[in-house]
Formats: sequence, C-alpha cells, structure tokens
Amino acid sequence: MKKQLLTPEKKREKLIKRLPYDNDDGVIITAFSHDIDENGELADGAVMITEKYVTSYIDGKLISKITISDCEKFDYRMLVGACELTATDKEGEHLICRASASECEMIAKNAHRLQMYKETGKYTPDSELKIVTVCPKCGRELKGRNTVCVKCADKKSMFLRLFKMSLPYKWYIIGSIVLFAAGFALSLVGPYVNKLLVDGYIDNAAVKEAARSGGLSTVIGGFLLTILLMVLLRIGSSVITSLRNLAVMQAGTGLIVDLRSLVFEKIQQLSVKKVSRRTSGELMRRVTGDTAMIENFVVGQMPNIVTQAVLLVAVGIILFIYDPFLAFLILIPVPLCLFLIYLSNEFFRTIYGRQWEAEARSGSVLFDIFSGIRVVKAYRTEKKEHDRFDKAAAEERDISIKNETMFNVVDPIIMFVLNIGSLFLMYYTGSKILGRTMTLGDAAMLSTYVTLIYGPIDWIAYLPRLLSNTITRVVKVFDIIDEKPDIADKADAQNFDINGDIEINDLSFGYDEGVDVLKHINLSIKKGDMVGIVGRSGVGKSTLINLIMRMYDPDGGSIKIDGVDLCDISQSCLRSQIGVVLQETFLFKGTIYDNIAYAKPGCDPETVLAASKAAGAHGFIMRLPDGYDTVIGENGHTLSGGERQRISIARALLHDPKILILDEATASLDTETEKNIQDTLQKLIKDRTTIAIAHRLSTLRNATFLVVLDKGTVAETGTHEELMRKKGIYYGLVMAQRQMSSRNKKLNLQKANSI
Amino acid sequence: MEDTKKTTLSDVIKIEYLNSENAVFADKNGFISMKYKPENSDEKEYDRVFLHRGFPNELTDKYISVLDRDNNEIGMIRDLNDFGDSAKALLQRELKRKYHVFTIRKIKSVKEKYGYSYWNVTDETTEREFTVQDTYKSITKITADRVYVTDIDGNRYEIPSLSQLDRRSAKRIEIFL
Repeated sequence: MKKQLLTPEKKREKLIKRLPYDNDDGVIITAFSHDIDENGELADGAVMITEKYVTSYIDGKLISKITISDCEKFDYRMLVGACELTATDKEGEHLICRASASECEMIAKNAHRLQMYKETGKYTPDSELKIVTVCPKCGRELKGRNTVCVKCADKKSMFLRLFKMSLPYKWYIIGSIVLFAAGFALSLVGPYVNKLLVDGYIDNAAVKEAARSGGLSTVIGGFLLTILLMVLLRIGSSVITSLRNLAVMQAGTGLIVDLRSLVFEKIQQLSVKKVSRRTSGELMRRVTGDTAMIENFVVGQMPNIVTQAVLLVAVGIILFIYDPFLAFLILIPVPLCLFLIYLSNEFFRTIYGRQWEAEARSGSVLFDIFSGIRVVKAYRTEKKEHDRFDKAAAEERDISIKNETMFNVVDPIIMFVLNIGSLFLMYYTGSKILGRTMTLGDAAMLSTYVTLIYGPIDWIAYLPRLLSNTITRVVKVFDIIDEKPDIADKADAQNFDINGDIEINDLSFGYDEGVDVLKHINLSIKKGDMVGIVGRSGVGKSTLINLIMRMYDPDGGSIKIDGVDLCDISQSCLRSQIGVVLQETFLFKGTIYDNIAYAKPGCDPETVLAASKAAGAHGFIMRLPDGYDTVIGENGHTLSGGERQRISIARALLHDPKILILDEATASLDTETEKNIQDTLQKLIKDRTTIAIAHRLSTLRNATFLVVLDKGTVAETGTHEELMRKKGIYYGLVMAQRQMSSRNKKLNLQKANSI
Repeated sequence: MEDTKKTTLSDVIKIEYLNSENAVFADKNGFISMKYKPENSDEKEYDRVFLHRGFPNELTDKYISVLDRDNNEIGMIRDLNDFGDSAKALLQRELKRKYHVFTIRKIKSVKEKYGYSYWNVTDETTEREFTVQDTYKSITKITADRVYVTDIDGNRYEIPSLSQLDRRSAKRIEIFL
C-alpha cells in the first residue's frame, strides 16, 4: 500500500507549481491540499497562502480569495470526522476549506500560523510546523499520530530487546539448551542400544546356539551390560529432564518478575489521562497475563523451537547416512504436511485472535458487572446483566466450538498424511527383513528414529494452537456456585408503594465478626425529610445507607420503611423505589444515553434530556461529538469525575424514587455547578425522602435535620442552627472546614500576588 | 389536606425547543444564521449557529442542539420536520457538512499486519483506502446490522447494512465483529 513517496517539501513544491499565481499576490508562503469540498464530498482541494491572500481551489477552480489584511481572525473548528478553516472579516465569516480528519492536523497548524501572522506580522516557516506526514525512510504516509512508520519499525529490535531482557538469566537458558541437547543425544543413543540388544542377544543365531548348548553364561554378561546401559540411559534422561526443568523455572520466574516490574513501572510513568483510558482489568491483564505469555514464550517455547529444529535436522542426517532411499521414503509426506500446517496456521491465527477478543469481551462484561454490583443491585437489573453476560459467554462458546472443531478436523488430516511415511517404513523394512538384508534390530532402531523425526513435525502442527492458546485460566467456579446468597427474599416478602417513612431501631452492624461499625442507632425519618448524615471519614455513614438499601442485613436491631421491616419487603420493591447517587460513580460500557436510561429502560429521549439537564449534564454531553450516543466505559470516551457524577445524578433523577440517597453525590463538582444542581434537587426532593452524605457541610444547610455519627453511634441530631449553637462535634467540623477554606483563600491570594 | 401533586422533571426543567414559530434560519456566506424569539423575551439574532446531534446514531433528524459561537446551547430542535422545506433543507445541508461519514458499500480487501489493518473499500463511485489501528476496538456496532469503522486519523466509515453487503465483503469484516 505505497501511497505517497513524496516528502512534504516536494509535495508542497509540486502543488505550488500546479496552482495559478499572480506576482501581485506577494511571496508564496505555503500551499496545502485537502480532500473534501464544502459539502463534504470527496474533492481535489488546495489552498495557497501568499503574503496578501488566502486562495482556495476545488478541482482547479477558484473558490475564494480572501485578503489577509482585511481579516479579523482565522478559526479552526473540529467537525465530526472532518474540520474546517474559516476567516472572519467585516462582512462576516467565510469558509476557506473543509477537510477530512486525515488532514486536520495540518489544517489546524496552518490556522494557527495565519492567526499568528495576523497578530505578529511574522510567518512560521513550514520547517517549524513539524508536520510529518511521510516516513523519511520509505516515503510512505505516516498513519495517525505515529512518528515511526509501522512498516519500517524494526521488528528484529523488539525480539532483540526481549533477548536482552533474558540476558541476566543467560546461564539458565544456555543451561536448559545444553541439557536439552544432552537429553536429545541420549535419545539418539537409545535406539542404537536397542538395536545392539535385539541383534546381539535376541535375534542372534550364535546366542541361540550358545543357549541350546548350555553356554549361555558366556553371553549373559554382555546381555546384562546392555540392559544396564539402557537403565543408565533412562536414569540419565530423567536427571537431565529434571535439571532442565529446574533451569527453565529459574529463568522463567526471574524473567516474569523483571517483565512485570518493567510494565508496572511503565504504567506508572504514563500520564493519568492515558492510564485512565484503560480499565483496571486491562492494566491488570497487561501486568500479569501478557507478561506470563511472553515468559512462557521466551523460556518455554524458544528453547523448544531451537531443540526441536536441531532434532529434526540431526535425525534426518542419521537417516540419510544409514539409508538415503529410506530417508527419502519417510520424508515424502513431510512437505505436504508442512504445506497443510502453513495453510492452517493463517487460519488458526485469525480464529484464535477472534477467540481471544471474545474472551476479552466476556471478561470485560464480567469485570463491568462486578465492579458495579452495587448499582446493579440498587436498580434491580440482575436479570438484565445476567442476560448480557450470557450473550457474551455464548459468543465465546460458539467461537471456541468452531475453533476446536476446525482443529480436530485439520489435525487428524495432518497426522494421517504424516503417518503415511510410517507405512512406507514398515513396507520397506519388512521387505528387507524378509530378504535377510536387514536385521530386526536395524528395523527397531529405524522405527524409533522415525518416531523421533515425526515428533518435531507433529509439534510444529501444534505450535500455532499452543501459541494462540497460552493463557490458561484456573477459576474456582464451584467456590462461587456453591456460595449461598446472604440476602434473600422471604417467601411472603411484601410489595407495596413506599411512602417514605424510615424508622431505625437499635441498629448494629459490622463487616467482620465482633467489630461493629454501627452501634445502637436510632433514627426516625418522615416522608419528605431531607436528612444529612455527617461525621468523620470511616465513621459508618456509607454503611448506614447501605443498610437502608439492604445491601447487608443488620446484625442487631431493625430498619422499617412505612412500618414494615426491610427483611419483609421484597428487594425488587425496595430498590425500585430507592434512587441512589453513590460516592464512587459507576458507569457501564455503553452510550451516555444508555447509562442515564439505565434507571428507566424504554423511557423517551425527552425525559432523559430533562433529567440530564436537571443534573447539569446536558451542556457537556452536547459538546461531545456523539452527544448522547457517545460510548463511555471501557475503550470509550473518558469523562471527568464531575461529569461522571452528573450522569449518575441524572440516572437517579430519572429513576423518580420515593427515597433518594445521595452519597457524596456532588463532591467532584465545582461550587457553582454544585449549587445549580442543589437548587434543582431542592425543588425535586420536596416530596421525597432524601438522605444525603456530604463532605462539604455547606451543602447540607437546608436539611430538615442532621445526624452526626461518631464512633459508630449517633452523637448529635438537630438542624444546622441547633447544632452550631450546641458547639459539639458538628460545630467542630464546620469550624475546621471554614478555617481550611479561609487558609486556602489566603494561600491563593499570596500566590496571585507573587506572580 | 396533603398536597398529592408530585413535582416532575418537566415542571422544574425547561428545554428550549426551536420550531418554525420561534426560529428562522437563513444562509449567510454558506453558513447558517438564526433569528430566535424566546418565550417572554426579545428576539435575538445569531450571525452563525452550529448544529450538534444529540443522538447521531439513532435519531439523526431529532434532538439537534443549536449552539452559538461559544458553544452555548440556544435551544434544541425536536424534529427537523418542525420546520418548513427550505429551512429543513438548510439544516440538513449543515448537518451533512458537520458529520463527515464515508459510506462503505463494498470491502475490496482487508489486510492485517503488525496490529494494523489496511482497508480498501468503495461506495457507489469512489474507492478509499485507510488504515485502522486496533481493528476490533475501532469497529463500533450501532445495531446488529449497522457498524462504524473509525480509521487511525479519526475518519468515519459507515456500513449501513451488513446484510446488504456482498458475500465476500461480509466475510472480510465478519472476523472483526
């Protein structure tokens, strides 16, 4: 795909020669081409910038000529999959050109250059624009933001780097190769000793004669010696295999630690933006899974490839020396086999690639669901998530079945073709034995050598599968299957329309046995109350709302809604009427629309738009190229904490709950946005029971009453004013925040003055 | 007596919807200008407005945001059909300019090498070549039958219907879906 062999300079020169030019236009600064017309249709467009004018052409025809000195400004705007360059003069804005995304970097730089010229009267030369569009080595177009041509990137250097990383373990790797060579030498000697045994003592006329005449004792010594040699060979082989495995393990464990440490270090060096583009699951996979695959390849497969290749060549040579015709017969099916392997390799590479993607997809669905399990449970969408996972698992299963079926069709064919050689061997050696031109020992030895030579060929057939399927997974499936759910609906669990009264009586709870996070809590919340829960971090605020949502059952006491104990209300009834915005907002992979509409599947777009506007999310969503269709979550668009929180709030508002729970819902927002949302919420929550946790105490000022938790108990209750007058824990917290706030203001002022 | 009327989102939040009654669009230097008369307020004139689809994949003619030069939303168009033919044509032209998508009718070849895939595709008339990095992740399924491919530069290519592709083209993209 060699598209462009011109350097940017030559491309520009050629374009300038092609375009009409008048001497009165002033010195030519630059020219560039673009690929679409004003309507977005593919076209041969060009723009020439001279000292006086910006002239644009489409298919050689003059489109516009704009006088630079008349212009107030030049603008570059990103469209979707395209961009535009405009100039504004007294008569308004004029289009200079539109271009596809491929040309946008260059258009943006030229827009900047024109604007700089307007402001400073100086042009930035082309050489300083740093527009590299072709590879300096091969002249091919550089793709994307790459500065290195993908075709010219030195693949060898990557393997060299891998090899260099293995250097600290070179002695183990060399040792494993030497030990394999020794083992392999022993395996070559084995068949020969076998031949000695058969020809010298089993199928030997002289021995038979000696046995008949009673002189067996004369040959028994030699016979035992041969057996002893065979035993020693076996022992030697076992010792060598053990030592080799030890060497491989030493090198392997060392290399994997180095690799993991390197990848981990690299991830830490990357910017937060880059890291947050990847999910935790993906990063974990990079650090653990991928490094293990490399380790397995370098330490496990590389020496094997070398040794299997040596084995193939060595046994081939032995066979040729012994009987060239026989060797020829045996090797007849090999080229056909290799051809079949080559053909299937390409196929297996693709289908295992697909399998890997399918596995990654289902893994990612699982990760997604588990990470957001609280949201799943809160919105009672277990069934929906189950179906989503089933779909991903079914896709993985279908691909896997297809792959295994294909492998089990192709592999026996390769094996059958390969074994045709054994049939040739049997026929050939059988004829020779019958003709008494070959001994039984020779035939046994040859048969073993043939097995030895077919070993590596067979191994090559397995290699693609081995390489494509190296990630082995051990999952304790049954541990999870056997686990019993700790929160279950009673058979007579009630379903009713919640009014919103909450009664908490003598509530105690701890995550671990004997360690109570909440102790003897008593609270009475009436419908329409806005209750603020405050207290130091880790005091049990989130635990309390988790209990109200029945994420856990209390260890002691009870929580009643409208007089009914939570344990007697069906979870579906409870959670479908509780809306929650959590501290850690969790958004699923999918569009923004899907994420908001998650709370109310099937609702109309206008309701979603209204909810998102109420949550202050509409503005930033509409600034995204794909609006509500923007995909977020894994590999999707990255949102800021505040943006995520606003989507989460929109989701909760759409849910239209009877009880609204806000767990640090506006913590990631700036004060102004927070105030706007607070005002909206204030209007929306007037007939709903609202429980809010907020670190910024000012946001809870309007609460009907505040509950101050301390050391797992209710330390204070009352309105803001009452608690301030009391000068207790709440007063202390408010004062500490005020001090912090005024200290920050002072610091900012000092900084501003020092600039 | 207890007030049983519940406050709904629409009572609290009001989205400005534009229609032929309150907004007039016109062509100005090849761009769109707008005169808008909000409810209970004076008419405002914008020399250039920008359009942005709320749901570019699913509802291409509905819920379109109209923005001013500073990217602030003036209002939303609920449906292009709320406008007369000439205004609708003008808005559609602007949307076509904003969303640059190449339609793939045939996939002539897809070659994968070193983590990149090289595509050669055509629409009714034109042939296009492009490169895709991380192919699996650059193909977005809008529906079971409709997909987008985003190339390494950010260009978008749409296959409006996978089932309408010829057998060979379908086979070429199938492995990435």
